[in-house]
Amino acid sequence: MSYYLVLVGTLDNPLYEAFLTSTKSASSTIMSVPPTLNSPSPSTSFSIFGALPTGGGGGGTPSATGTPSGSNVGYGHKNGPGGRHVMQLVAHASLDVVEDVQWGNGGMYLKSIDKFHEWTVSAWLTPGGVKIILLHELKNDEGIRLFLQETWETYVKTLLNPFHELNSPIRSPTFDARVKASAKKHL
Amino acid sequence: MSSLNPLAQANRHKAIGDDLFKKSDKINAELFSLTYGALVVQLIKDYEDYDEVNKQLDKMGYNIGVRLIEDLLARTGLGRCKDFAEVGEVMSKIAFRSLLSIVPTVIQHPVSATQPQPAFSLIFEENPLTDFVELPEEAVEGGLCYAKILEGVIRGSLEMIQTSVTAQIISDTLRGDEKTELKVTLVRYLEEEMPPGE
Repeated sequence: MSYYLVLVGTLDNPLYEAFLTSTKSASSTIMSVPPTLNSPSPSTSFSIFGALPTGGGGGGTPSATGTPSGSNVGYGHKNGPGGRHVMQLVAHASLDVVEDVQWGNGGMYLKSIDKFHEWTVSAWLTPGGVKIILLHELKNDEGIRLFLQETWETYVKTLLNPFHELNSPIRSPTFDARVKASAKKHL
Repeated sequence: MSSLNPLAQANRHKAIGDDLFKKSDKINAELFSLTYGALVVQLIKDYEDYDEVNKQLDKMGYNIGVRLIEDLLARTGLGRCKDFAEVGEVMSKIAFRSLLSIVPTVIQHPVSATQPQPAFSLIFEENPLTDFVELPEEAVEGGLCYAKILEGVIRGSLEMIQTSVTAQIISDTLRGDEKTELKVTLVRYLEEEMPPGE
């Protein structure tokens, strides 16, 4: 489905944000639907969920829990009410939770630290204090962990660029391309 | 030496280069890239003019080159190259191999109607100086040549062995071109000059 990724710098400033949609999970839920309804684009698949009574739930796929009320437009969905601003607000609110959890957790991957309606917030805390926050509807621990790790590695490569100033927004198209490719692979 | 066929000679150069590389002290490549990057960025901050930065990098390269050639010749004990083409081969297989651990591809440009002087081009597939670097828009538009120092090094080192050349980076992957190519053209061979006053 859709994901919201934001990299937050040490001054709580956003360095990079991306709205990602994954065609991978959308197509895996379509598998439980009769083949005639198989649609390639994710945007139309949302309406398919709304039309089906319990078709998505029967397959037991992770995204089956993604539409609890059966409505196809969630709270923070980009086309829904509030939309992108809600997601940014949720991510910002979760920064406090990250700071709380970081003292208990020794590793960098902080798993799911917060939940807002149907959105779960997972975070990755880099050794340099940069927080990589991912808002997601689906449960995909391993994939999300790998994705956050790859995003971190791409971020480290960006840091090695002598022209990059610490805590400055990341505008490089290579970073963008790598993150999107990594999202396609893992999410 | 002129009786050796080109292949044997190339192998010889490669062997000398690899051997010298093995005997040399190594430093961490990332440290090297970061140091050069910090140097370039600081120059940009200080001069605020990309042309001036290019000139300074070239000057620095020249100073490095005039000292470097002595060190290289002392450690390898190489004799004279028989022609300018061999200079290119030695530079690529021995000098670059032992100093930066890369072997740029050499493309010879022999004398022709449009080009009275011999030249060769070095094509860099990888370059430790430019690892991880992405030039911002202003730098590309301003004309910054990130690896300019190499031009100076080549010019300085060859001048110390009586070869006056012009070295120029004619295409640069950092600026969006397909490959990084450094063209070295012979200007003239310098005669040994007596110091003034003698």
